Amino acid sequence: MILLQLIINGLLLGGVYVLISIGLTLIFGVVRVINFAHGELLMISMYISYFAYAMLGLHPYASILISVPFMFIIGMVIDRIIIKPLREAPSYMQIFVTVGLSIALLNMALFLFTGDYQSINLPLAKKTINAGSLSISYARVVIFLTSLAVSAGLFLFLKKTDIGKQIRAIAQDRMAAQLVGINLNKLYTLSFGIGSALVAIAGALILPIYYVFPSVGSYFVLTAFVVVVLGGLGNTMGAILGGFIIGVADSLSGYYIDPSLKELVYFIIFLVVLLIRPSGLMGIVGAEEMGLK
Amino acid sequence: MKRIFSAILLCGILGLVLCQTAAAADNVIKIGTIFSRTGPLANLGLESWRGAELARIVQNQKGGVLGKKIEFINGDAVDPKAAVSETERLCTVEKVPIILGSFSSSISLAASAKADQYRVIYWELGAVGDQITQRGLKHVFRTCPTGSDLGRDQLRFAVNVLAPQIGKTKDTIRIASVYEDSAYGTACAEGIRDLAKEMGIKLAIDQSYNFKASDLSSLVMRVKAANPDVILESSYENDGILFFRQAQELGLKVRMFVGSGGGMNLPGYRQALGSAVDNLVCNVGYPGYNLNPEYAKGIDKLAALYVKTFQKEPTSVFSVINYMGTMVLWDVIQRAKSLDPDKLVKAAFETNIPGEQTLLRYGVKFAPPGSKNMGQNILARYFVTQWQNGELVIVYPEKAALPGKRLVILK
Repeated sequence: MILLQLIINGLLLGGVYVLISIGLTLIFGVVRVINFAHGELLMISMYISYFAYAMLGLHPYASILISVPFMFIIGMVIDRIIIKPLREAPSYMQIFVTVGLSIALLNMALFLFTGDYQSINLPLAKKTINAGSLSISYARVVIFLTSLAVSAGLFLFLKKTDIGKQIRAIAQDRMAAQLVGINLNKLYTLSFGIGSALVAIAGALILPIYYVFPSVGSYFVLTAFVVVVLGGLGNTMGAILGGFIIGVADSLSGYYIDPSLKELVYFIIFLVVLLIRPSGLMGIVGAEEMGLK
Repeated sequence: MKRIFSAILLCGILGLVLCQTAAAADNVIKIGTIFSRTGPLANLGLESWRGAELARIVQNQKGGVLGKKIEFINGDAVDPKAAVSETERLCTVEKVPIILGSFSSSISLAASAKADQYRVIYWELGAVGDQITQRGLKHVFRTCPTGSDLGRDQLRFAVNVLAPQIGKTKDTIRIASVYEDSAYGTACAEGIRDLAKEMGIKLAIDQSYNFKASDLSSLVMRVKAANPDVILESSYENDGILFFRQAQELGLKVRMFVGSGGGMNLPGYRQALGSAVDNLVCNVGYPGYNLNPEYAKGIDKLAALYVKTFQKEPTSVFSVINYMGTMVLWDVIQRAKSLDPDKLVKAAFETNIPGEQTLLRYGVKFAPPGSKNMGQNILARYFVTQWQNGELVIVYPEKAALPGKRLVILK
């Protein structure tokens, strides 16, 4: 029974990671920018939802209606103003600029909102579904189901729509995509925007079970990168797989080995997978270094 | 002629002024203080200083010490480096015989080492870092309890007070020790472990975690598997909130959480978790002004003096313990009958004040030279508060609680 509870915990935790990482897989996978400010995008989304609740009394789930369009625009602006000028620059320049962006956003939040930790006290956050000796948090089930829904939505978008196909083409081979007339810049900006909008959903749903403060992004960003690379850049199924593997590994190793060693375990899994299959579990073999040299 | 006359007049006036200041200097005793008056720790640093300042005012009302009024020369220690240079100034320029400090353990460690070099007594009133009195420095004394005492008092509370009330004994009560793995949590957990060994108690689980973790579900599962009656916890605010929340989510039920004051006694903790913590979370720590005046004699007068002197209500509990420690210093000086360092040290080690005579009703006796924690008040102990209806109420020692307030244990 404990094992079942641990696996459930792991899947629910995986849902959190998937929801946070799904935006990153699009940005990292398509635009090939190692966006170190991804955590800060999450932080901004959480603050939007927090203030919507504190000042307007808006339920976090409803605040998605505000934060998603807002973050969509922010994402496009970031790409246009900050990333685009450095498209042809070596990848380390792009890394520097996103690190700089991350620091700037973090400190701006510190200045505007102070370092205080803010959390909201929703009755929903305490509700659990009890099935026998199993306890399942309501709010986490919502995150889990949303992560699947969002991933499915993104998958269908990429598979069926025209724009989605263009984005996948860029992720496969940007040179060839350009040659067939795909407008790289426009689609990069759009991908950044969509990726940021997806993070907004994560922020709104995580706020009830966690707390927001200026550095909250840095707690999640590293795991988000692990999930994305483990699953394969640009691959939504891969991100789901990666997220759940990490979540279950976290939960099981934290219990059976030691809570202080759980990160160690999933990083070892990460290293082993990459040694065997550098493109990640479901990535496009051969495309892993594209755009990053 | 005129010029010579002016010169003599000037010298005369100067001489008179100097005589006056010299005479004035003879009439006061100057004591140095090292607290964070500015910077990130200023809020609680100043609160701590206010306790010492109140003790100075109270003693001056009684005539001061050794027949002279007491004056403070205040040093501002923003960080350990500033603490060292301010201590140098107090020791070499102002030539104070004693320095009072400091709230922050890192500031205390730095400043007291420097003071000891100059054979100036360092009287620590509120910083808890164990090492402060573990360096064999003969001029360093501490009147308040230590970090590992936090852990020991957590365990004592669980075994001596909680166990009987939940129908368990020292041998049947199941105790979990959960702590964040930085200096604070580790010190408390050490205290718990040491005392448990001494008392022959086996902890149901002894587990650390990183306070930055974004998920504590595996920790909660482990603690749940150990099936404890009571959890002794050392957490900061946010990990404390996360742990409690996930414990609720995953059905970890205990009779009481006992915190060690890191984050679990902060308003933010109660705000985030709501009434779920009421009657379920206790904290070991320093007492504030909400003590029973029958027990802590004079606490109400002290509270009134605080408001009168500083024109506002106390913003924290820290002034109380700093006040008590400073009053002990005046007693030491009176017994030493001098400000000579050796006589002061001797009088300090002879201190043996019984609990009935102090404000906080614990005695004062410093561990003698040669012991591992030389200079530490071995009779110091903490109080226990409990969250009740959104406020922290003193519940132990029972007599210290305000009338009508007592420990509540849910069924």
